[in-house]
Amino acid sequence: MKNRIHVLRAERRWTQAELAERLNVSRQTINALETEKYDPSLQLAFSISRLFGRPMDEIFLFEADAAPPNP
Amino acid sequence: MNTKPRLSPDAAARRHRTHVIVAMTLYLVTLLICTKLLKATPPGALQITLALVPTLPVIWVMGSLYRFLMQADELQRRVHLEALAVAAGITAFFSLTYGFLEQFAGFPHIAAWWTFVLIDLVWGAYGCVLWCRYK
Repeated sequence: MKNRIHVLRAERRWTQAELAERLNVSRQTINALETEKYDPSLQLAFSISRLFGRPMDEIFLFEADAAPPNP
Repeated sequence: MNTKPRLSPDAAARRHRTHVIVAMTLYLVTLLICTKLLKATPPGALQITLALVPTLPVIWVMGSLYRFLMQADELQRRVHLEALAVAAGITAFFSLTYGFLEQFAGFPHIAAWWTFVLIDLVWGAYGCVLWCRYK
């Protein structure tokens, strides 16, 4: 699953540690989310969506939706 | 009512690491002292007590691990529990296999406490592999 967490965090000029503190997760978890090596639980995804004030489908993109359409 | 502020997952991990380092140092020290003392201790209650003293720091580590897992975030918990499951599986398989070899094929006896060492080694090594995967 792709996500825009890194972009949204950069817009707010937050460090990974600051975002981790706001979401009550570890900095390693933020790093794993931003590098798209870990997909969050539904509960964490809701927390991220609420923190950034964006709907979930603007932050997370399922791989099938992210792929360009077939010609 | 518990009014203690809840630690952040990073702070909980740091605290657990400190507890493990202190407890394992205590474990090694008590192990060395008790092993020496046991050589000159006659069988009885004192011998049993001395034999069990090194397990006290291990109980501390287990308590610290439980508290850490209760305060860890979902990825930390996943990594630790996945590594523990793999370590438990490998240790159980090794114990069973070697138990058969020891009983039926004349292999030398291995003390039961080696299972503790094996499970810890595999747990730590596999945990590192998992963290590298998420880096």
